[in-house]
Amino acid sequence: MENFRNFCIIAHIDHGKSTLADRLLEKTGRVTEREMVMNQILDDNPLEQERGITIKLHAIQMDYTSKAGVQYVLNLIDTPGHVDFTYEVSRSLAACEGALLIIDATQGVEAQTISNLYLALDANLEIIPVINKIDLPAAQTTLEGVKKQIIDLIGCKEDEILYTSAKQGIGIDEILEAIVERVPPPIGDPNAPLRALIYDSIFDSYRGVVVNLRVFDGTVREGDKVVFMATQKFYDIEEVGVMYMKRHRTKELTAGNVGYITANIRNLQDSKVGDTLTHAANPCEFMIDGFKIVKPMVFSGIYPSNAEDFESLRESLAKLGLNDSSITYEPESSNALGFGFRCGFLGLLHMEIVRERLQREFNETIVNTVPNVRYHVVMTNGDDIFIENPAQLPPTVKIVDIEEPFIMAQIITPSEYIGNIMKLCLDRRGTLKNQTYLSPERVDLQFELPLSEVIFDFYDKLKSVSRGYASLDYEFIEYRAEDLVKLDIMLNGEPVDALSSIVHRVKSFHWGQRLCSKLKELIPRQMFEVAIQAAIGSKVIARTNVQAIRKNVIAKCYGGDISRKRKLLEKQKEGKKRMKQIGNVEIPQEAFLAVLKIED
Amino acid sequence: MLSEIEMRLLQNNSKELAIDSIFLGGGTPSLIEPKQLEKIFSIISKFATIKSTSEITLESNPGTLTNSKLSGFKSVGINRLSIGVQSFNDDELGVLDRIHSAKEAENVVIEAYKSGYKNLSIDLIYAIPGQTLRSWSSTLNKAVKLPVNHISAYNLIYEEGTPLFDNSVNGKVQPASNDYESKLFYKTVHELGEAGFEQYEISNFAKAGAKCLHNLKYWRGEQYLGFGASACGCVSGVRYKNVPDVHKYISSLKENTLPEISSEILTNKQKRTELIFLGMRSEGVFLDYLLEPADFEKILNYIEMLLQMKLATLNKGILKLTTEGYAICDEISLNLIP
Ligand SMILES: Nc1nc2c(ncn2[C@@H]2O[C@H](COP(=O)(O)OP(=O)(O)OP(=O)(O)O)[C@@H](O)[C@H]2O)c(=O)[nH]1
Ligand SMILES: [Mg+2]
Repeated sequence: MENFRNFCIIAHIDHGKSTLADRLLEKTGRVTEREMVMNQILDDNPLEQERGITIKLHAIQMDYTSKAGVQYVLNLIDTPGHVDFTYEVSRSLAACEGALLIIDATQGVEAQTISNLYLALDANLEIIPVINKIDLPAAQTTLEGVKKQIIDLIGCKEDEILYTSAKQGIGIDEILEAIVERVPPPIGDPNAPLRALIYDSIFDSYRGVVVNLRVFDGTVREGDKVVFMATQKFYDIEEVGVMYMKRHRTKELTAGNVGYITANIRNLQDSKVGDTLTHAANPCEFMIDGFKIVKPMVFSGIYPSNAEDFESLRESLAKLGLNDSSITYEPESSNALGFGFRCGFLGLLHMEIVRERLQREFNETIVNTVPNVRYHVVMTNGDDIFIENPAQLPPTVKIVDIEEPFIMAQIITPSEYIGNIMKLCLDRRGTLKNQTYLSPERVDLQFELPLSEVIFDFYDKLKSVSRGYASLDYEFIEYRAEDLVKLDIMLNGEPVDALSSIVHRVKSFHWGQRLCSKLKELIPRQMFEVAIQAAIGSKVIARTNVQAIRKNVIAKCYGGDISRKRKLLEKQKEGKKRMKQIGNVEIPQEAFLAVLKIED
Repeated sequence: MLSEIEMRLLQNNSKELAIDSIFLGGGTPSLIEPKQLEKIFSIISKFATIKSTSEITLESNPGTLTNSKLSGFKSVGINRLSIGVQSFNDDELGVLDRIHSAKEAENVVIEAYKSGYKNLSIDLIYAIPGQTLRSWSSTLNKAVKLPVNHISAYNLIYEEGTPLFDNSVNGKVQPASNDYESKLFYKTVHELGEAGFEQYEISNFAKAGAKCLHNLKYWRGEQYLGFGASACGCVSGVRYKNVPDVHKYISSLKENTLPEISSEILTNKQKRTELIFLGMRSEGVFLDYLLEPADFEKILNYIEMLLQMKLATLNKGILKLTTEGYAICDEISLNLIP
């Protein structure tokens, strides 16, 4: 156990975690240069590769012989940097004794640098600060400042900071040496009753659930009878191993090690992340502290494009849920879209990724509605309910208060952009709570903001008002009553439930107008005029209309044109079939996400 | 081309076929010499029967019709002329790159009539860049005063590869707006209607008894053979298209093979689509035929709406579009095809 080192790599998004992991894997020979077929090799989901971001934590074991000639087993966990996937970071930390905190030499300390650092400190991890991308020419001027930021942030000594270029493979040996020297070996008793923490579980169609765990005490072997303590589910272990690029069977795992087990578990609910695994016959006394359950923050409707595909969509969501337990989905129905699901996501990026995975990995064609937060509604009859779909808001007379989630946002920015950022946040109903200068040129701003104002285009706006320099991190604080109203959209007098939204009264007028004009752009001209109205209750606050088509016919059609014309019509007919019908009005599917494309 | 005619007629066992219309169109067929036309007709007659009542149309450009040609064509059997006038406004003819003047066009029509052609049709184009409602109206006015019994009036199409298309893309010419086009369309129907021309298809207008039989055949889904490079035909549910390249066309025929670039057997669904959209463009479609499919309820509702909005009429079981319906015929057809 003396020779185990468990560490994760944490950082703000894009600071180079996965690239550094590549170099460590190469250097230790876990992956040969020839096998290094792509960059960020641990990002093994095509979506991760395409977007160049890590979505899921990824563990891998390496062997390393130190300069002093000692052999070590290193368990590395690469983590995502995006705020939507913070949960992946917390879980990774629980399996480790140390963390490499990567900081981009040209970007310096950013919001997730700080939030992930705090998570790691809370978990009592040894922090090794690593400044990456020193190869970039700009680093020459920024490096000194960044060094200072880190010293101020962590309170470390200057010589504790390591320097690397993950891209060019500079400084890798020093990092490996620092890991074995500075990260403490795990402590635990291999002979005590088994005590292992489940930090991740993945569904494999052949093996059932592959449970990723960190063994704290005891030893787990193939054939053992085990129990998941929280769920009280008993299983016989089938396979035990550690993660290389693929699963690598070792038959046993002892205290201090990180690996996996399979036990032909078909129900992911049986082996919950955060649960403790122990022996059935000789259980440990105390469970390990689990994780805060992450709750979805953003909700939206996912409907099959074709009504017949409802069941297939249900199956796909269930399968997706096996590998991504943070998604929730409940059946719902809509007058515009028929039967579908209200799904919960960790954030907008998560939503996008789920949508894309459904389309690519499961071949579903879906309509996705505008996302919203979860509202808490206090009713006159004393009840209180949570609603995840604005269309479900009870009639106004029955409502005492509508509460919405507030977050504490941490924005780190060069000080010259403070003015712009203040304006943006105030526009979004934010209040400044704290302002700390990290250095004369860098400031850490803390705002309370309604989450609903942040999920749409806040991040893009923030980037654009700060020329890309400001970074954002946030966490939920509480529900607060606000003057919120339900804004309905009607087409030729028929309400379209899937387009309802809940907005602040002060903003409703403007919002209604923008939504109407966006819809006007998206709804094609039809045989009759289409009136688009936005209403609060029975009061119409904005209206516009799509004029009837005046002329839509091709002038000529003789012998030689018939085929071409037929093919054209057939193609248009396909498009028409994909439209959704409200009364007589046909709405293209993109219209249901219209709000996301609204510009200020 | 003669050998293509021979091959196709033989292949279709056409001795029993009685031909009741021939249309010589595409490009500038009036450049041909009457002698050559005679050859074509004699080949056809060798393998099939051309009925004595046949409508035999020659498409022509005003610039190519001399008096001697007019009489020459007449003597070899042409009994209907379709003349590509396009406009009676010289500026507009310029925009369209036409070599003839408005005056020349007018004279040719009169000469043709004098040469004994009783069935005369002219083509006109509207929504030409720069055209006003007034200039279009005066073109229509001139047209109906001429001794013609058929007028085709087309909305200008910006065909890819034409200079006009390029100019519309690079902004040199400003295409008419959809709303403006509809105004021109309604003006056309109205003015021609007043002058006794009935709209029997989106772009075709005829005095009583002067509908173009040949075109009606296309729209009724009847069989036709087409000859020449780029020509299309449709026989027994098979549609073919010839190669557009003249050299390939000739070399293929020299090797005794049909110069087809494609040939497709229409599925029932495709046939249905064609019969419906072609019918809706022209004389209408039997209600029973429209109501056949599984979507019965939906289509019935839709048709009721068309009738209510006066976009269509129902007469003797035939659903036929009104002028307002014709204007948005494609949109309507989309809702009726399978
Ligand atoms: N110039 C330079 N670029 C680097 C270096 N390390 C990483 N990059 C680049 O930075 C970008 C982000 O690298 P990743 O390794 O995907 O970053 P990450 O921290 O894993 O990102 P997330 O997982 O999405 O949070 C990529 O384009 C890398 O090529 C470096 O040392 N020098
Ligand atoms: Mg990464």
